[in-house]
Amino acid sequence: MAHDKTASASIGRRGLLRAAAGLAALAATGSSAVRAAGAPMTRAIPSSGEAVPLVGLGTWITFNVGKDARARDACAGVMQAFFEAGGRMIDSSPMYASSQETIGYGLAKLGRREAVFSAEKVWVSGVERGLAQMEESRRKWDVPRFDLMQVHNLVSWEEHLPRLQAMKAEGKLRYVGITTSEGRRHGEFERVMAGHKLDFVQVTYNILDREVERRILPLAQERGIAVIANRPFREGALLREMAGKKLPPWAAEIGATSWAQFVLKFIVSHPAITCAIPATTQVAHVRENMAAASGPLPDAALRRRMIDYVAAL
Amino acid sequence: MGEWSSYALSDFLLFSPQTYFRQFALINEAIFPVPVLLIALSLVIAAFADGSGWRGRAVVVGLAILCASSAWLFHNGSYADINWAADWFALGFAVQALALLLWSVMGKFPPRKVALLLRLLAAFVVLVYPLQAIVFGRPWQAAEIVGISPDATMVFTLLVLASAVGGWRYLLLTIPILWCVIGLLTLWTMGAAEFWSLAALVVAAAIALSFARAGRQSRNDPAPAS
Repeated sequence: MAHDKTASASIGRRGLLRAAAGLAALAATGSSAVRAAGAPMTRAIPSSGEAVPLVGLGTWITFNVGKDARARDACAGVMQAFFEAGGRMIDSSPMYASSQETIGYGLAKLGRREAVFSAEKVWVSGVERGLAQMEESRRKWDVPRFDLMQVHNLVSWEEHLPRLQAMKAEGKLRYVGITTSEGRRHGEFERVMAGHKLDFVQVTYNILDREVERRILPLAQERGIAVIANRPFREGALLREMAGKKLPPWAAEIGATSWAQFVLKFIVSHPAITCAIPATTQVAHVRENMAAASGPLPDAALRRRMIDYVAAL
Repeated sequence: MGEWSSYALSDFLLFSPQTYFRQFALINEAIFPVPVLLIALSLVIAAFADGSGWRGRAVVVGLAILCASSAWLFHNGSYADINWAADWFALGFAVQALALLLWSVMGKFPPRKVALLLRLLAAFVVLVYPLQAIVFGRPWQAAEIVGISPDATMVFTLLVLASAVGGWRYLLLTIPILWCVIGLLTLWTMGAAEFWSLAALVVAAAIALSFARAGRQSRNDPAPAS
């Protein structure tokens, strides 16, 4: 088992940035998770050394609640629990309909615009339309700028990437990335990773969907690109399949008390993964998810055992 | 975008079943007592579905109002918040409403019989179909009412138009049939039990339509020589 390293409780974002050189060395291998006391483990973004908690918050489906005030408040409750547990990265997309407004509502209600690591996407053809869409997204989140802007599912990436890099150089966003999901267009994805300067990639990765282990995750490590793992629970289907089945006794060795933690610990223990982004509508679940970013993580041998165990279920 | 082929149907399901069905409760509560008026209008339409002359035209105008209200209240007023395709659905329903209005002016409404089965099914959609909200564990406020719920509105439109005569009716049935497909796909992808009730209703409507058509043909056939 690779036990987390407990750093000083005073370690914060600024401190980590000052120690960028040291963290960059860790990031080069991407294998070391760092944890301040009481906070979730973090991993460094290779291009900057900035630490990001291993577990973030996805918003696909769960935050698309329209104008329903009751549901918006419930989502704000999820965000509050997320921030209280030390979470930072929230990911969304224009594709997710009202999710962006829900995030904006929650950030305003909680007064946590400064705490969030905002990860958004551009999902439209054409540079001008892309710029308009990003501005619309920023307005809905009501943040001064996005931390990370990703080209959603490689849509018109040839047009968007140069513009995003220029925006990064102008200080209008901090990181640039691309996304895919469910194994789409991995060949082209690899080519973009290999040929362009990227800070982040986002791919589907979980204990059953491991295709990215073969080429994309090693390439990310080689190129110094942070990796966000989406669909960690296959939109909940994975946990529904496992419901009622007993966790193996050895799950306690890594502090996993639920299938959600078992699966998340598997994901974030891959040295190339920077952050997993499970989505949920329940406060109890977000706490459970965030708890997966503390305690020991499985080593290679235990990861193999986890794969075999789940495959045999 | 040229990447549409890489998406599965489930990728376009942007919301949970809870969020989808919650929209009906939000609308019903926001516009009460309009849902009651829509139920009353639907019952009047079902009662006079065989109306000829001005009554027939009034029935079609009533159908146009129901399609337009579903476009405005559901698609435009609520569904568009959680589904970016809803604006197109609203447009489709508005086109249906306009086509019905045009037909109310230009169509022919001769005296005709409407099968009892069609009338019963239409009344079922108005009065019983909304109760499935309670059956499936949702609050009664989330009842799917004709004139709001797109599924109920388009199935009801299909049933009323079944007794129509003239080539126009095929044009007027296009959007309701298309919507039934979309509605069924949405419910299926959500894994909602309501899929089965809508599917049963669509099948019953298809059977009623074929009976109505067969009945019309037999009445039009010349009597065999004795």
